[in-house]
Amino acid sequence: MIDSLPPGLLLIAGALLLPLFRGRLQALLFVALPAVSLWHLTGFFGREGVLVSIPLFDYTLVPLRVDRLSLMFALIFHVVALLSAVYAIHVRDTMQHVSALIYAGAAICATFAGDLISLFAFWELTAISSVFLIWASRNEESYRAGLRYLIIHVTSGLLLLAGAIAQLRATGSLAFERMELGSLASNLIFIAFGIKCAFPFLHNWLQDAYPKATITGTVFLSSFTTKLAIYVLARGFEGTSPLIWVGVTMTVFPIFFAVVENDLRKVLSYSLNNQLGFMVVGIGIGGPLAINGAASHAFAHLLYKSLLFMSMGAVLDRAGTIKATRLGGLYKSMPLTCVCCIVGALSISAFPLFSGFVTKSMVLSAAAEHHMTIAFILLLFASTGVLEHSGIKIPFFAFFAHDSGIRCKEARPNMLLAMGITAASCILIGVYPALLTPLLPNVAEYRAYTPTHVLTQLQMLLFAALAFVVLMRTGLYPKERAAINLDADWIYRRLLPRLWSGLETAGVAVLDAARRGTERLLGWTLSGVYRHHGPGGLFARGWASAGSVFWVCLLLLVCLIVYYS
Amino acid sequence: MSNDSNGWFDKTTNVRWIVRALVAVCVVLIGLELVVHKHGHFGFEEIPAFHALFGFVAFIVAVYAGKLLRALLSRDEDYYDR
Repeated sequence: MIDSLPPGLLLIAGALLLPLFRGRLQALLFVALPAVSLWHLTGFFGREGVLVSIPLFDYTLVPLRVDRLSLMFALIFHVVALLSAVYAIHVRDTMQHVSALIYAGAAICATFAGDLISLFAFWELTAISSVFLIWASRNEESYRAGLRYLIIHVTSGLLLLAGAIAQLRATGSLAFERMELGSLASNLIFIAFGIKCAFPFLHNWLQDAYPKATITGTVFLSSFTTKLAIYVLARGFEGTSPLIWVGVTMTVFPIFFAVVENDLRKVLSYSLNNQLGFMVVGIGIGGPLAINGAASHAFAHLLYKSLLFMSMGAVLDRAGTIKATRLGGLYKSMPLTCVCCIVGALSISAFPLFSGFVTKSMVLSAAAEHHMTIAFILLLFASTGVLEHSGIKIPFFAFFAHDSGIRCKEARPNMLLAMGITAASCILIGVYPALLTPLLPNVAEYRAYTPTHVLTQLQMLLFAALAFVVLMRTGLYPKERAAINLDADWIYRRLLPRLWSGLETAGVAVLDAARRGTERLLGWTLSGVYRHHGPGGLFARGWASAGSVFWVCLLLLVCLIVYYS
Repeated sequence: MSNDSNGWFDKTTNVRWIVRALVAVCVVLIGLELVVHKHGHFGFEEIPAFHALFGFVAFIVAVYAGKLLRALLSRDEDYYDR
């Protein structure tokens, strides 16, 4: 029975029991559930294939299809769920705990969905459960952002469902396999995936909602939704070449927003968008090395991105703000958090001996092997951009820069524990990349640590750091400013509402004019009628009876003359 | 580390040492090209100090592009609340 229970379901079922417990017992269960579910998952390694299929009317649902790609994502989802739960264990908010575990469980279940209907069900469940992590901030701003988030994600789910139905009508199958762009079904599904994957112009729900979620909620949010989208893209659209340019765009444009963003959790959200770009490029290139690159980059990224969000969450928790303009000098108050944050920063910047170095270079190598010169150069540029916003800006403005005068306590012990383990695993992957090899979906020869690669990477990163020093010393580095920068969400937060209210005003004006015109016409008609038929009007005059007698007499006279003549 | 205002990184002499160390490491990295023969998929990757120059220039380009973006798109924090 437990052998055929899709991994992740235990998390969802357990989460529903959480409200029955209180206090420490609930906290214990909150951390124990991902651990138990992880143990459950380990039973599926080496058992690849369709393990459960359920006939439903004329169709077949496949809630449990296991292969190396799904196992790799399910494994790392479990690990970050566990680490995030440790990070959030101090929170006394049943709603957040329940939604976080359902959310993680739904994402894990989705990685095993072998048909589009099961995928749709878990796809929507991730959206509906995760929005509570945004709403849990319990303020007007997060309420509105959560609504926007929910509308966008439910739309993505509906597109997926429409795509599933279109595929069923066209092919008679609901199976979720690799597809080619071009048919109605695949196009709809592609857009559904693209929304969750934060493709350019479909991306802004991410930077809008994540910084407004709770401190611990953002750590959960940053993990599952977008990486589930990476997984389904790798499964459904491997080697779809337009993805290369979509991905390259994703790596480049968020950099500029991140450079000038003041909210450091929003900087990390842009940075997350940029990291997804590297994975999308890998999927677009396709083939064993590129897919290994995308999957392992997702694996490493889940750890260091969680770590960065955790450290910024700890800063927000203790210092009470996450605005770069108000932070600085925190290395004195929060040295351990500072060290963890720097480990995350070095990992995401792909310094040798840190996890990002091993995984990102697979994608770049795949691009080079396919002679994609422009894409390769843009990815190099994007790598420098990562160093700028995540490698330098995040730790520098939070922990160093000018002393903000904030003196606070070091992060909570459970947060430090979670950050410490995550930081250690980032280094472990960087030092022993062979640990990842047995998990990779494909067999492909790749060596990250060649003298050329280490040397060129260090040159690029350290000279970029030198550029930072030069810009800071000369005062040319842009000062942090308490402001926001407009992004694509402006379209639906400002332009469309304005257009709508403009249309409304125009509509009201037209109706008004029409009403006034009609009134004038009516008035004119009525006054005409009044003129002719009103008192003194032509048709309303009294005619004297003498006149009538005269006319009757005249008529009789005429008759007399006519008959007797 | 104590909670007073004089941390290690607050002393300009210490910061100056970090910068000197960074410059020294950068010089060494260029020097290493004499020892390590670079292999690249593309011809431009074998230009001496290509990655160093690229990193330096790309960083400045990214920052200035960000400045330009800010000039165009920056708004007050309460922009959407009004």
